[in-house]
Amino acid sequence: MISNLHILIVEDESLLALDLSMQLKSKGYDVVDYVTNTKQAVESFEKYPHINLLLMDIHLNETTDGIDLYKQLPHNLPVIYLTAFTDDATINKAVATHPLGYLVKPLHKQELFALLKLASLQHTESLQNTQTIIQLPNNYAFDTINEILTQHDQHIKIGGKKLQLLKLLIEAKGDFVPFHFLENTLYRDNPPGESSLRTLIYRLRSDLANDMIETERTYGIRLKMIN
Amino acid sequence: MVISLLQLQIHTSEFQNTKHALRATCNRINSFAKLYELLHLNQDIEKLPTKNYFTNIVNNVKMHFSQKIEFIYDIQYNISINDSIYCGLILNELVTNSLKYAFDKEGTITIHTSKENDLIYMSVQDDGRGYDPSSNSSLGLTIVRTLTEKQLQGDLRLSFHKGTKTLISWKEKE
Repeated sequence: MISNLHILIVEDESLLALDLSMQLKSKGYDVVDYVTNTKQAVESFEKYPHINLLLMDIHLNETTDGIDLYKQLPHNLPVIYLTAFTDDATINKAVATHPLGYLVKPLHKQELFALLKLASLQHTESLQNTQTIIQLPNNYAFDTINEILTQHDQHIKIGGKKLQLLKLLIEAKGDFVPFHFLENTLYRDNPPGESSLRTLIYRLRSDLANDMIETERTYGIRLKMIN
Repeated sequence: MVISLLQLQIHTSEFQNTKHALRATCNRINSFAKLYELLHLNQDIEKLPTKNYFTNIVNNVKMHFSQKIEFIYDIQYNISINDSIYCGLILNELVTNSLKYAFDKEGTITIHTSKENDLIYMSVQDDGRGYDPSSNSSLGLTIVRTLTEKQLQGDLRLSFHKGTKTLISWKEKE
């Protein structure tokens, strides 16, 4: 069960981080990385997007503290604060970010392991609660886990950039998505020829019922969804 | 006092493995105990004579080995107090590794520090049989890697030309 957690440790004293990392690994946890400052934390997030739990030291020996760092991070990840500080101001500031837990150093390993079990359970439950099959107009449906598009339960083969485009449109939940955003996201590595995106949209359109993709000429496109 | 307690434990321990583990811990603690001692003696708290500090650490490590090893100190840069504690631990581990694996009876270990442009360099080089410290996943090298990469945010390079050389480089914080 614990294997669904992918942990990043942020702790300014590297040997404490190493110790914690080794102890967690010996219990079977996946510690993706451990870092000592804000810069490394941000880099680690970019490198390992599957991180889904933070163990965050509050005092980081730089102007930003662990709580501010947490607020800067893009995703609303579950966080457990580890700190030697127990003053009201620090606790209030930490609590405002809705952490999963707040552990006072020196750490009691049993408390930490109990919290990690809780984190693991919550992670499993949150996955079960999120909708995995999205119903689209004209009896289309998209399975977000297996990334399968169907119509009347018939599998429609779709892959590559076409699949990515469809996912972007579904993520936008019926809102218009600007062309420049699509271009930047889909062709991040090599800039497209002028007509590439247009051709791609045309190809996706031909897989879907005619009127499902709506175009706003100079701005972008949207996918009609069922409200 | 902490070191004395550990040493008492070493003397009363029956198991060789335990003795080794406690001895290693003792040396690690000693490496920064020495730093505090020197800080206490020195008034200028911005810089500390690195050679003095490193000599203290090396003398402590080499007590536990019987080979005849000459140590050459090529200290061209005094490392900042902030980084010294980490460099002391790194030195402790690297010298211990060399003494453990590199020599039969005698040899030389050269310890170097310098600054070029923005980068601080520190290296430990032995002229022994050339062992690869990364071949076994020893705690010592893990500590060195962690301190270099995560704490100093620097680079670590190993080379094997007539012995083993470990070179680390990093940028000093302002």
